[in-house]
Amino acid sequence: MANVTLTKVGKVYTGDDGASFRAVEAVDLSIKDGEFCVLVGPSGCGKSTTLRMIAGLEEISEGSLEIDGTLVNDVPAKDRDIAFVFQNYALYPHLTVAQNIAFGLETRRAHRSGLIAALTGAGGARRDESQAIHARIAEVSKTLGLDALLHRYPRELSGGQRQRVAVGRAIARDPKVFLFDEPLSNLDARLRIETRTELRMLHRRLAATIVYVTHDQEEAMTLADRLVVMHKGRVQQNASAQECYERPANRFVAGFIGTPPMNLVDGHLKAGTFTANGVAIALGAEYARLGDRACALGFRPDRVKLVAPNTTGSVAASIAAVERLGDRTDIALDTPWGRLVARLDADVARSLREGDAAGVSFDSSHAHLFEAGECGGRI
Amino acid sequence: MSESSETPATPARKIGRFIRLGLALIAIVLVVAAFARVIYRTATSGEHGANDIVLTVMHWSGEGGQEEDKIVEDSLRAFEAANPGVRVKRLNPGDAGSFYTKLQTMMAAGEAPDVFYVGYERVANFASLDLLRGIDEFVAREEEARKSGDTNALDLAAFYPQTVDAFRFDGRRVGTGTLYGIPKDFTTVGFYYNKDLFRQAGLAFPSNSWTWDDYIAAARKLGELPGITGSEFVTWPVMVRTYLRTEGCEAIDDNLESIRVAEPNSVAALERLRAWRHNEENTLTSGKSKIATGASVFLGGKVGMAGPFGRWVVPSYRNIPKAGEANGFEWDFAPLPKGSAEANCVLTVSWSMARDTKYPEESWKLIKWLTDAKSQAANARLGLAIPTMKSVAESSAFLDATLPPANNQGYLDAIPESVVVGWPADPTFEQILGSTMDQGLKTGDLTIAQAVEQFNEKWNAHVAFVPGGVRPEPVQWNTFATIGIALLGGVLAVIAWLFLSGPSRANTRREERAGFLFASPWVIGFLIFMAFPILLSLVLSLTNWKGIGPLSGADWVGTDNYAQLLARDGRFHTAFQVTLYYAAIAVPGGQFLALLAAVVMMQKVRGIAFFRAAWYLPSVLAGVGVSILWRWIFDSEGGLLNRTLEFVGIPGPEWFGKDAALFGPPAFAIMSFWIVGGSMMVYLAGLQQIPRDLYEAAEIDGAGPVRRFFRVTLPMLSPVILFNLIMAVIGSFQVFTQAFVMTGGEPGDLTRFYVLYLFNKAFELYDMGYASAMAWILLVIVLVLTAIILRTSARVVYYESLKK
Repeated sequence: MANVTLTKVGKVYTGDDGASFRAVEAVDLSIKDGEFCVLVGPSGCGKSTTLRMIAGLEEISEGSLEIDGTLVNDVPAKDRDIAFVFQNYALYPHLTVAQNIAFGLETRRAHRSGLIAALTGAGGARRDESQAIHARIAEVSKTLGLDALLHRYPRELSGGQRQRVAVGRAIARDPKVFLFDEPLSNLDARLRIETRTELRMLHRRLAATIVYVTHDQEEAMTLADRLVVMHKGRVQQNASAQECYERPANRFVAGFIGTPPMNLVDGHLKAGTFTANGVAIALGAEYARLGDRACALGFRPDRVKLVAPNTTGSVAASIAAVERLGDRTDIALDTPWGRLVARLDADVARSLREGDAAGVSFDSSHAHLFEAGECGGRI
Repeated sequence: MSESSETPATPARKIGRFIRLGLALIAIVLVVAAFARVIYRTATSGEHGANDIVLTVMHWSGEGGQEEDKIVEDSLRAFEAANPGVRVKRLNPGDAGSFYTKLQTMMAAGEAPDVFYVGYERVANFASLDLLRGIDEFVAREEEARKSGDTNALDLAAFYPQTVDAFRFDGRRVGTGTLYGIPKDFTTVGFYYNKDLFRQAGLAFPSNSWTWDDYIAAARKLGELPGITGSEFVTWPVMVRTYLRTEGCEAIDDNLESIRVAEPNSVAALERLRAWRHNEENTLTSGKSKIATGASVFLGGKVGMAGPFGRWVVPSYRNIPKAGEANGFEWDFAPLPKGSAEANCVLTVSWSMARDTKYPEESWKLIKWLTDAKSQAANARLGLAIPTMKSVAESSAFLDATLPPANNQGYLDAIPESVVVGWPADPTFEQILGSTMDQGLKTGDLTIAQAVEQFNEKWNAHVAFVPGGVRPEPVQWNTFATIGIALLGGVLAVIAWLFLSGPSRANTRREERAGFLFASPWVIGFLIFMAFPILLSLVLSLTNWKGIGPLSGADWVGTDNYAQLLARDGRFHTAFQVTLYYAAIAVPGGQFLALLAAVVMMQKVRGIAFFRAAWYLPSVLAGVGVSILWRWIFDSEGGLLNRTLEFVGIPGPEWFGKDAALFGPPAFAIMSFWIVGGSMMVYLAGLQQIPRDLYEAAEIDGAGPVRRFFRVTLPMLSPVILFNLIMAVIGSFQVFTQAFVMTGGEPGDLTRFYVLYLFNKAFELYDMGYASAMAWILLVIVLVLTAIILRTSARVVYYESLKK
């Protein structure tokens, strides 16, 4: 196991016409040995590119990458001692499960036993080595519950089974670092949640260094020791999942992390009072020191309270939609501040009907303020 | 909706409408023009009267080219003008080869032309197949008319007697018996020589009475000049026989049953010729195959003499620039040298009449017209041949002093010693003689004694083969017709049953009916143009049908054809071996190169699309022209390939000459590598189907490029490889165009591929039943090979969807 350090890593693509596109910019990241690090962000944010640069599948344009203290910028993927689990698993369709798992092991053995074996993939191997491979396959398949599937071909497996084979292939080699590229996105919702738990447990058992890419912030939060939120090729926040949720570093993170997303309203703060679209709410004296400025106000849906219409300190609203989730209910509200969402206890919301008028109020101690702009920093 | 159609048209829509309108107009104009042409023809033919007799005339124009075409046309129009009520339709399929193929097809269909060319070498064959009408009765009538003072009557005595005798056949041999045509022109043979080279070598020009000693002395002397070869000596069967006759030997006994080349003086004469070619440097050019025979070799000015050729090379030699101009030289003709005897041959072509012509009287008139003094004089202008009428040959029409060769008299001087070279009616005789003599004289891989032995072996095997026994039964076509109709009825019944037994809801029925309607053009086309001929060929393979007469003439021979092919036909076995040898190189080599090219073409390089197109381009080029180019590349003297090999210090083989046994089929394999673009495209498509992340996964699993290729690319590509492999194997058994154009199967039978031999049997030796049997054996071979490949590949080929 090992730690992974990225220093000012960037990726620039240059097209045939000479125009260049910067996919990743100045990423600084230090992943500790045994840490489960999740890169999360919307599609096109550069998270997969960053992962592929760590794997060696993409060249690193700028900055440096160290694995276990060694600079590996120019080390080919096959020599970085990493394992990679692909989004669609990339199982060798012409090989059985056992052969898929053995592929990497045999390759390494072949490297040691000469060119002929490398060409044919067979012969020239010492008996005890192939026994070792068999033992390893048995061990891995037991860990992942693949024993019954070893002689099947990938197309004969379900999505979840394939996913487990892909993981099995990765762990068989006992690499320094595991890289996962959206490994759950091809599974259905229920299986995804199950597998997610299994992955978490597997991580604990292996004590492995994992870099994991997903666009699903919920998956990211449940898995991550460390959450790296990316957007437009840049790291927006690098912290624990809890901190990203409670203290988002900027407006983008605030809007991206959490379900349903945080309500964000662009407006103006003056003397502790926030005004947007002519509707003002006093946030409290402690906000007065922030002075007179344009900013965005954020508050999470579960901090919203619905009060009677026209209650002082509330924003007038009409209920646009009621989504009952069993233990709680999400309410979509049309207000002068735009569309807001409230998450209420089911009991509280039982009498609410679409079209009802209401007032929106929230606890200002749980309000977040950000600079204006898409990635405006936390105030 | 209705509103939008009334709104003013947008500019784009206006243009679209114009284009549609324009296309429709063009289509209408084309159709009207096509009909107008037909109507015009019908109308103009009306001038002659609707009840005109229409004669069909067919000829070729090989070396004579368009000029010969025009001379025949003019002559026919003049005939029409002189004979109201008779119209003549003229067909000219091109060269002699195409002519005979077309003639065969027409005769098999019972639609033979009324009047057509027949070469002296085919007369026995055609007459014995009962395809020609004897013209003795007409000649006798002309004789009487002449006696009674008709000056226009045909006088056979005015013709050189040898040329007339060439078309007499008594059922066994040529030269006597029924007359089957009037010779239109002829030639004697000799050597063409380069006067400039003779002067350089300090040699006197050959006289009309020179000898072989003079000839070979001159050739040796010429060969001493730098970069010059003494002489080209073609070893066609007819030339070999004529050469033997100059030494007082005859190649065939009088009954045309066996060859006499085994006799000591024949062997000695042939061994002498063989030694000139193979034991001496630069005296004779080495084995040349079909395309590069003499005519073109001489044009380059690097060969002192070329022959024995007749008059037919003269039109092309007249294009040689005059001496002093670039590549120009002076040339002339000398008749065949004398040996212990004086001899020459008469090669001639007649105008003959089909046995089944409906208008024998008019046909005779036309033959007479086409061979009269006026027509002969017109023809003589071509320089292509000697008029068969003495008076014309000795007139200025032929003895034209203004054009080379100066020695026109040389051709005529040889006439007294000339005889017709008669062949047995079975053309196989000439073919086997040619191929075995080729191996003795041209490639030199057999001694004369061995070649003679081989000839006897092959000819005796051929003669011993009497399919169906001595008295074969005629084919019961009625039975087969009944079976065929029953089969067709069965197929229709099955279709009807399928149609009726399906779900019977009205709209399903309607959809089905539309489906069958749309499919019917293909189904009908398949039944008529594919299924019927395929089944017919199966039946024919059990008969001795010649392919040149009506089917009713065929006899039932059972499985005799198959037995002969498999057990006894040496030429068939050679052809099979040649094809296998070729396939063993062409298939693996071609697939390897195609795959290699595809892998290279996968590289992301600027302009890769250009390279892909460039590699594919040869695959779309036409076969014949390309084959001719390749023939030049493989030319053993001055060919691009051998020059290159020479340059790097490797002596190149004579691909289609003396090294043909070893290098002939590989030469075709090398040529086939040039067109791997098709396979490459399929591989390229296959490679692009392989998901990129498999390579990435393998890379992360530690596999380098080589291992990735063998462990990922090859298995993933295996179905494509299997497909290409099967296609290539099938293709390798179908080699035809290249070999037909480049070597014609020569020398010997060393490049006679399977299909080439099939063609040879069907269209040159007129044994369609036998050829049909070969076609079915080929089908079985290909099926078996495919089955073997499929069986053995099941373990290594990965199918995305089939493997369980």
